[in-house]
Amino acid sequence: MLSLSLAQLRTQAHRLVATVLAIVIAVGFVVATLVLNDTSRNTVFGALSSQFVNTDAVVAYDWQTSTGEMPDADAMTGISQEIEKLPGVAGVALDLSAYVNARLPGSQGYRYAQVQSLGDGELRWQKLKSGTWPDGPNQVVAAPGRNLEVGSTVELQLQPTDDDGSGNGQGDTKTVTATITGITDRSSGITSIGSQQFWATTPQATAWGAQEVDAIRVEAAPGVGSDQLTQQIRDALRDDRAAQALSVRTGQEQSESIANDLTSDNAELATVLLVFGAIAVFVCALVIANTFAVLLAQRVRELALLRAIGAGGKQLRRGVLVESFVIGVIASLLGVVAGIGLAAAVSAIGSSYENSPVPLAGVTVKLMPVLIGMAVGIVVTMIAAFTPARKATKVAPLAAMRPMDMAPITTRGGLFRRISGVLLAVPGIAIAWYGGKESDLLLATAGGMITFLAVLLLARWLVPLAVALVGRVVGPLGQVPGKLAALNATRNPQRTAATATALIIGVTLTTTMVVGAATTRASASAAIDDNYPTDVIVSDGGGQDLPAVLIGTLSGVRDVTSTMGVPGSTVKINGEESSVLGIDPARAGKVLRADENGRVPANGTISLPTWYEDGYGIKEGGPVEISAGRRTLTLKAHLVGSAMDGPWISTPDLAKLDATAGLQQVWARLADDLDNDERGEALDAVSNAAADVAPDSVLSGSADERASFDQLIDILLLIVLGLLAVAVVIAIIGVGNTMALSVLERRRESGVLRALGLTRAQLRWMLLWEAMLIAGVAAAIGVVLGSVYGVLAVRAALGNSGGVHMAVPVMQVLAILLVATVAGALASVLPSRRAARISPVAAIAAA
Amino acid sequence: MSWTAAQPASQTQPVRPRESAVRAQGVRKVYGRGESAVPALRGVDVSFDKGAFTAIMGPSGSGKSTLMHVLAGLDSVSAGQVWLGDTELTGMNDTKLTRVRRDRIGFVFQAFNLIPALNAQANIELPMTLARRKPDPQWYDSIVDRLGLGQRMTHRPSELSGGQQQRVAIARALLPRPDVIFADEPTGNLDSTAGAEVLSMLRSSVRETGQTVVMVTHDPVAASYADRVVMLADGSIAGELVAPTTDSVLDALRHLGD
Repeated sequence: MLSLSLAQLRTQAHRLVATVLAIVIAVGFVVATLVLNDTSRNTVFGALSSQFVNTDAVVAYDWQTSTGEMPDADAMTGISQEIEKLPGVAGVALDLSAYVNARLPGSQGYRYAQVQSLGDGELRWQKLKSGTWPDGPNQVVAAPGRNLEVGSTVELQLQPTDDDGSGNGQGDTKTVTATITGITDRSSGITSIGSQQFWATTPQATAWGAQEVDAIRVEAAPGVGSDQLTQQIRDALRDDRAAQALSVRTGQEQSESIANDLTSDNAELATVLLVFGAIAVFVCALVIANTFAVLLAQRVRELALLRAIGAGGKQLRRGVLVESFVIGVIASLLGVVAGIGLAAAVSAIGSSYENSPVPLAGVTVKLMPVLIGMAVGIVVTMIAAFTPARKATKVAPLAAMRPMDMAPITTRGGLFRRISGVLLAVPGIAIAWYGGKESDLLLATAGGMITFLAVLLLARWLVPLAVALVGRVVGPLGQVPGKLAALNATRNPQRTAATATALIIGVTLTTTMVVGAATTRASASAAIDDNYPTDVIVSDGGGQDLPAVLIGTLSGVRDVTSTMGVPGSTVKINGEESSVLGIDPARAGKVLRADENGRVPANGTISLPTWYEDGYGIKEGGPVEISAGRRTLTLKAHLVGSAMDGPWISTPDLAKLDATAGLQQVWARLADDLDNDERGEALDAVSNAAADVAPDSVLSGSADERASFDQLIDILLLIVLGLLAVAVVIAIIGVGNTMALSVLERRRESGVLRALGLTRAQLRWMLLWEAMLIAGVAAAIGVVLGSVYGVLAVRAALGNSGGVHMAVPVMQVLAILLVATVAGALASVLPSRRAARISPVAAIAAA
Repeated sequence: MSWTAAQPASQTQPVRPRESAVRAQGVRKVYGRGESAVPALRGVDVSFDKGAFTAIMGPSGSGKSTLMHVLAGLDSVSAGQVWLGDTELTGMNDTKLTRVRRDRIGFVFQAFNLIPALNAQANIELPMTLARRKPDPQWYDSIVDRLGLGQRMTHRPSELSGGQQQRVAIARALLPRPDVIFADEPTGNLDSTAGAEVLSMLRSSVRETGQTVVMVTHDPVAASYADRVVMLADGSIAGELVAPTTDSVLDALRHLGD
């Protein structure tokens, strides 16, 4: 039997191309997903731990485990000096950082930035990509960023400092100009995602007000091991009271601790990637099973012939399994290679992309993805091959030799499928609903998969029913061939369902992603709107009043649609000092993006963040006493969530309290239809215009955050859709295969129709119509399922972190529907040409 | 009657005033090319009268099925001409041939070949539907009457017996009143009782409504239902028999090799 199996493989290689292709693509899909997952995790972990991994010992305050107070800067300096005296210590670095406003090259406005001190010798963990290390005053190295080059200068606006080192002291801000002497590699700067990172020598950083201590890193003297050093430091600090809240670890331990914190912090990210991998395996299994079933069904007669000439059922099954094993191994190997290649390509593209949200460097190929890919490919192929093989060997040899289209259509197992489908659907829907409601992503995913399995089980009953209904409605449009097509499409429910299944899978996944992304975007957008009153907020970096002319200046900037000046004052609220902003209720509606909580105060009301409830003893709807100087107003309280910075009152109320309230902020709203680049340009333009009038002005607002968020979603969506396009391609191969099989099975019937007077064009039209009916119905089912799954997934993933705003991108979903239907139609082109070429005589004669 | 030499159809004899429904002139058909070429028809001249039931007989490989396919416009010829009434079929393109088949020719196949997706009634009406013609209700009723299917008109082919399926196939062929019906071994898959019913139905359609029927068969009993039998051997006409009986057909077959 083995020799026969191998002979089959050799002589029928062309037949197997489609199967092998499906396995290669599916396995490649799984492997690429897993490899990318490992790569991005490795890159992040590697970058985050690079600060410590080569350090012998680290003394730091652990936010996760420490219970005591964090020692202040002086105490930390004292501890570091104490450590320096220990015999096993070669060097000590006190990592200090300062937060500054930086005016970067090519921009006139200030952005938030961090300056950290550099360690010396072994303790300098950053890696330079170009330039040199700073060695004098007013020199920095920078993490890579836009417009940053060796030799360019940045203007740093330093926070006023005072004795307690909190950076909140009063006093004038100081502005210095620093020269960039070098640029580090990307992973060195990864610790400060979102703001620009600079490093300076320790004396320089201290001079600029770096007082916050991140960690004390210690280098061991030659011959002293990390563990030994760590123990020495622990012993030395045992009696130091200030050091009780600090942890002493080896660099390796510290790295692992950070990595663990990251995993627990990003458990959600890890779950998402896990879920994605599981989905990939699931799809791959279904698609391979489908394709293989179709291809083996084409050989039922051949298998029956072997039975007739004396092959035992067992022999036949073993033969098919050997065959599928060989195919599985070869195709899976190709798939693993393809997957790693794909991951490398994505990684290369991802890391060359500036400000890539997915941190990728090189490719991390672990054994696990390779093994999983191989296992999935081989096992699934063999399981897929087994069912049709069993079916073929169960048929009596002579019965199987009968013409295929005369064989009665079996409905055996239909009832079992239907019952098990319903049995799965009910708890599946319940679990999915519960998972969505409780924001449990794992439960929701499990529920989604169970319901999807149920749909696939019910497909054999559901799809023909839907096709019959649709066929009855649109059939007359296709005239006689159309009517025949509708009847044909429902004649072999198994075949129709198999064709539809492949497409349902692809379309469901694609729609899930598109709807999920749109819903995420809408939800996040709403959350951002909650956090910021409007797109752009200009305020003074030094806490001074802004010139009134700024309002007019900003109104003139392109893409700014409306502006509003926001005066503010420092008042006493129920006796406690607090700042307050005055909002013009008439203008606010134009500038604010959303005001769902009713933040804009009417005359006589004050809007407050909820934390005023505890701090100031204020109740919703209760009276609030506000005084400035000798004037006092009593306003009605409205508590509006925690996203607000501070209390708002209406401008008339503010004028009553403080007639001379200065302009504290200017709010500007940008045009709605800006893409990311245009939004970035508008922000730069606003920043430049503001700097002309008020040199110390600083920008904030939702536009910046929205821009980076949109970019993240777009890129992730692009990657995911790219991978899913692969699933759809496999699905189309599946449709083509089933149509080919369907044509093969109906050779005689097509011949009869041709003999009776159906023209070639009409026959082609009939098959095309049939394919479009099946594909259209499958796509419709997929779109509905996918939309539900998309919203469910976002609810489950983000439900904890805020409200979910459902958004179904109608045009995109319609496009998916159209593309899937057209793809189904295209897949039928080759088989239907083949069918039309059949001579009526050949078809009738080939009994 | 006795043996007569086959006459070229173009030389229609005045003693037979009937018109010809289908005729072939010098028809040759060769399958394959070069060394592997197999001649199936080696120059056939034959004519089939209107309103007559003619059987084509011959041993396996004699070319009888090929002749029928060529006469019915299902297959092309290598040389010669085929006429359906006054229309020359040879040289027509596929679409025109399809239209001729649809409008003027009926088929009854050995394997019934009903469309499984359609019920008996829809199968009967299919050629008319394809041609977008409405069947004449009286004619339809009389055919269905003769069919003897009664309440089973809404059943699918898989729910009918072989004899019933073949009768549906004959009704399908009769309904558009084609110029000629070609029947290819119509009793080949039936037991003798069902076969007799089918043959009677074919013969009565000829006798009662003047339908032209050309039947290919290798069964002498089936051939005895015909008005005339044309014998074929090795791709050539080997003789003919008018008003055949089972015995005369058997006798003629026995001497075919002589």
